[in-house]
Amino acid sequence: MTKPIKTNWDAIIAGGGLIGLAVGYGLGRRGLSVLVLDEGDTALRAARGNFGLVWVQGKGAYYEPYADWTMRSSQLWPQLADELQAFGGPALGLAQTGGLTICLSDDEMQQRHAKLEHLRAHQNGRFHFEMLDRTAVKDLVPGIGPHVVGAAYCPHDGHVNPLFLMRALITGIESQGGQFCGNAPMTDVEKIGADMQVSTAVGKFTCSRLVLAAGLANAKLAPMIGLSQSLRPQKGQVIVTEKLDQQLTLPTLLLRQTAEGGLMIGDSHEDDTTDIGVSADIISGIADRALATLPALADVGVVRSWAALRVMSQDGYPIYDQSETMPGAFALSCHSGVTLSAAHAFDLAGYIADSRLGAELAGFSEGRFHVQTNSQTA
Amino acid sequence: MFRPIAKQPDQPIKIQFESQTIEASSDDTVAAALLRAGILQFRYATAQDPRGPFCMMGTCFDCLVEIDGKPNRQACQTIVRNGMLVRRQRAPIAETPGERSKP
Amino acid sequence: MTIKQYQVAVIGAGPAGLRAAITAAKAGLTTLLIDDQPAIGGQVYRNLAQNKDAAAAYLGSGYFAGTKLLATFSQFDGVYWPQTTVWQITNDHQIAITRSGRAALVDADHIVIATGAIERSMPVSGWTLPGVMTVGGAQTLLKQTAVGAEHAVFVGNGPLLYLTAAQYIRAGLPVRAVLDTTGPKAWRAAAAHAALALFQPAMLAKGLSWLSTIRRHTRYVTGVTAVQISGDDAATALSYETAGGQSETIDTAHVFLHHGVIPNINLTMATGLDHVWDRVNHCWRPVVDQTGQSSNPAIYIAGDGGGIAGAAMAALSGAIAADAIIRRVKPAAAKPLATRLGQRFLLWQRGAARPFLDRLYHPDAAFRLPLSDDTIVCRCESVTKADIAAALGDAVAGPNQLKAFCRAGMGRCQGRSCGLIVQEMIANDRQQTMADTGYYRVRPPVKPVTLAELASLDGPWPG
Repeated sequence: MTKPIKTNWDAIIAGGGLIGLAVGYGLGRRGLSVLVLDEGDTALRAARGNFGLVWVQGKGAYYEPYADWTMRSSQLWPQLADELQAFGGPALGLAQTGGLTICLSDDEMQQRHAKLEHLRAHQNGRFHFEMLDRTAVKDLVPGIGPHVVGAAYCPHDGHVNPLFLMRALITGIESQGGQFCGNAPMTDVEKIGADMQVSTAVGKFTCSRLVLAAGLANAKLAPMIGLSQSLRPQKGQVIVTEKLDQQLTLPTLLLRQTAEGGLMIGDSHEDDTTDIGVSADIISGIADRALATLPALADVGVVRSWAALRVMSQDGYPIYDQSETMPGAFALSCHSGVTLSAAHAFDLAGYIADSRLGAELAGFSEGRFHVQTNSQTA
Repeated sequence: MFRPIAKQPDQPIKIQFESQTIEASSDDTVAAALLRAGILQFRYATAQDPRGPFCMMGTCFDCLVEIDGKPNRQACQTIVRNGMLVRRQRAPIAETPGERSKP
Repeated sequence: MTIKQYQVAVIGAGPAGLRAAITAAKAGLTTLLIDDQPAIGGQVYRNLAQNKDAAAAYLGSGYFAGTKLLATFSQFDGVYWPQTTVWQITNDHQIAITRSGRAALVDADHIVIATGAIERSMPVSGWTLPGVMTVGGAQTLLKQTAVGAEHAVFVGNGPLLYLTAAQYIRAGLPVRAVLDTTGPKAWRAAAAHAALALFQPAMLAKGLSWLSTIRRHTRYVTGVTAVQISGDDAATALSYETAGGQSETIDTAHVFLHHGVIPNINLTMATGLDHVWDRVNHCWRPVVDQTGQSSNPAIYIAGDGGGIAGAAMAALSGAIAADAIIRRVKPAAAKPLATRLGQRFLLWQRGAARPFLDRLYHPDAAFRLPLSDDTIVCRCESVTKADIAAALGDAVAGPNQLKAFCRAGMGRCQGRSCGLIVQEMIANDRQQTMADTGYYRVRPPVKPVTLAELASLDGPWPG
C-alpha cells in the first residue's frame, strides 16, 4: 500500500476517476499540492469504462447550461491534449474533426433533427450540425448498410483514448509534485479551522481544498461535507473488436475506431444494475446494430467487452456543489467525464482554487432538484 | 525445419498459402500444414515482429492468418479444406512504429 | 435464440470431461458434451484414435493409457457437439456457444467445466520469434501430424518437458540439447515431500526413464539460470548461462519452452466463480470442494482446470463431479458410499507425488519474469517489459489499472499469456503478495466470436 509522503496538502481529491484527475491536474497547474485518494484495482470505476467520445451534438439540447459547458470544454480540449502530451506517455489520439449519429429509420432522423434544431436555437450561432441523407453518409462512410437512412453530422465532435487520458492526467499530477494513493479511499472528514482533515486507512491528511469526485460513492461522501448528491447507477455495455484496417474516419455515437485499429461498439442504457457483468443478450443487440450500420463487419471478431455503471444524477446533468459548512470542500459528479475533462481541468479547477463556483455553474447545483418542491409548497 | 517422422497419411487436400500450393491431409490443421511445408512466419505483429504458431492449442492467438478473405483466423484451430486460400495477416491501421501508440 | 435443456452440460472432452459426460449419461441424466476440437481426447489424448499404429509407439504408454477411456465413449448416449466454442456462462448458468457460424444459449441445470490447463509463459528474450513454441505445442504436432523438428533445444523443467523430449528422441528426431532450469533450492523444498511420492512408484519410474533417455541421447544441461533466443525473422540461436558459470550459444531454429502448466481460468473467472491464489503452484485456481463443486452450486470443475494433477486424476475427478451431480438430481442412481470412499482414496493416491513434483518443478523467478527491457510481455499487443515498467507507479494498484495504461492484457488471449507475468511485475513493484495484487478482470467472450455470430443470438436492441 502506498503511503502519502506528507500529511498536509493544499488539495485532497477523493476519487481517482476522470473528474478527480482532471480537477487535480488543474489545481496542480495553479501551484497547489495535490493528493489523490483512490480505491483498489477492481473498484467499480466508471472512468475505466468510457467510450472515449469528446461529444457535443445533442448535449444540453434541453438544458442550456449543459450545452454551454460542453461546448466550452470541447473548445478547450486541444489545449489540454497539448499540455498532457508534453509530459510524454502514449499518444492521446485526440481527433476533433466531427462525428456522426447514424440513424436507421426515418423516426430516428426526425427525432435527432428536432433535438439538434432545439440545441442550435439557444446556442446563438455557436453550434453547427447538418442532417445528412444516405448518399452524403456514404461519402463519409463507404461501407454503410442498406438500413442506414442518414445521420446527424456535427463538426464539433471528436474522440480520444480515454484510458491514456487517465494515465496522462496522473503523469501530469505527479510531474507537478502531486501524489496518487490507491487502496486508500476517504472514510471521514473533519473541519479543523479553515482546513479539513480527511481520514483514510493509511492515515489522516489535511487540506484547504477537498474535492469529492468518487463517482457513485459521492452519494455516501457528500453528506460528510453537508451536501447531498442523489446519484443512481446506469449500466452500459461495450464490445471491442480485433484490430482492423481503417473502417471509419469519423467516430459515431455508437461505433468508433481507435487509433490501434479496434472498433469500439456500444452501448446500452440499463437501469437494472443488480448484475454488473456482461450479458449475452445485450451484446448481441449491440452487435446487431453494428452490422446494420456496417454489414462488412460480419466476420470481424469481438475480443473484449465490459460493463460499467454510469454515474447519473436525477436529470443526467453534472452536479457541482460547494459545501456551506466547509467552504473549501466541493462535491462533483457527471457521466461525461471525457468530454468535460478540459472544462474540469481549466475552469472548474480554477473555481475550486478560488473557492468560489462561477455563476455559469449555478445550473449544476443539486439544489435544482429541490426547486420544484419549494414551489409546490409555496 | 519440421519434418514428418512417420509415413504421412494421404494428402489429397491442396491449399494455397500466398503464392505457394501446399498439400495436406484431410484432418490437418492449417498450422500443421504450413509448418510441415516449412513456413514459420504466419503474420507480422509489426514489420519487425514476426510471429508463428506458439501453443498449437488455441490459447496464444499468435498463429493468426487470413483464410478465404476472413482475417484473424487461428490456423491451429482450423482444419484444412481443398482450395482454401491462406494469406499472411494484413496489418491494421496504426502500423508503422511512428504511428503506433507507444508509451 | 435457441435454447435447449440438459440436466448436465460438460465443457471439454479431455479425460475429465469424457468421464464426467459418460458417467452422467450412464446414470440416465440428459447430457451434453461440448468441445472445441473436432475429436475427443483434449490435449493429453489428442488424436489417440488415429495413433493406434505401432509406428507411434514413441508416444509412450502414458498416452496409450487413454485408449480404454476413449473407447468407452462409443457407448455415450448423450449429445456430443465438437467444434463448438463456449464463450460465456451466464448468471443463470446458460452456456453461450458458437457452432457453425451461429450463436446459441444452452440451458443446463448443472455444468461441469473441464477445460484443462495451459502452459505457463516463459518470457525469455526472443520467445516470440517464429520457431519458438511451447513443449505442449511441439507435442501436439507430434501427436496430430507425426511432424517434428530436428536439432531443437528444450528449455525448462517438469514432466511434460522430459516426456516430450523423450518422445522426440524415441521418434528418431535428433535433439540438440535439453536445458533444465530446475534450481538448487527446488530440491530442498521438495525433499520434505519425497517420501509421499514413493506411493506413486510407477510415475516416478517413468520420469526417471525419460531423464535417462535424455541423458543418453542428447546434451542435458542442468542449473540453467538464463536463456536468450536470437534471430531476425525466426529463431537462429540460443544462448544460456548456468549457476555453475557455464555459458554457451547453440545454433538452433527450434526452441521448445516449458516450465509447468496452470489451470485455464478464463472461463471460470469470466463466470464470476471464486478463485484462490495457489502459492505452491504459483497460479490461480477456482475454489472447489472435494467433489469439484465451485462457489456456484450448479457449476463443477473437473480435471486440471481445477488444479494441476494430470490425466489419471482428471478422469477420476470427472467421475466424482458427475457423481455429485447425480446425487443431487437422481440419488437412486448415485454411487454407493463405499465406491465414493474408494474414489477418494484413489484421488489421494494418484496425487501423492504432486506435493513433491510441484515443489521440485516450481517455476523459478528468473524464468517467470522477463529479464531484458525489450522482451515482449503481452504477446497480443506487443507490450514490452520497458513499456510496463514505464506505466508502473503509485496509480497502478493492480493489473486492471496497468491494462488501462499500457494495453497489456487487452488482446485476444485475454491475459492467458501475460496475466501472471504482469501480476508478478506489479506485486514486485509494490512489494505486495501475489494474492493481494489480483488478476485481470476476465470478461466474456472468453474466446472471440464474430459480430455476425453474436448478432445471431437475436437479442433485443438495448436502446
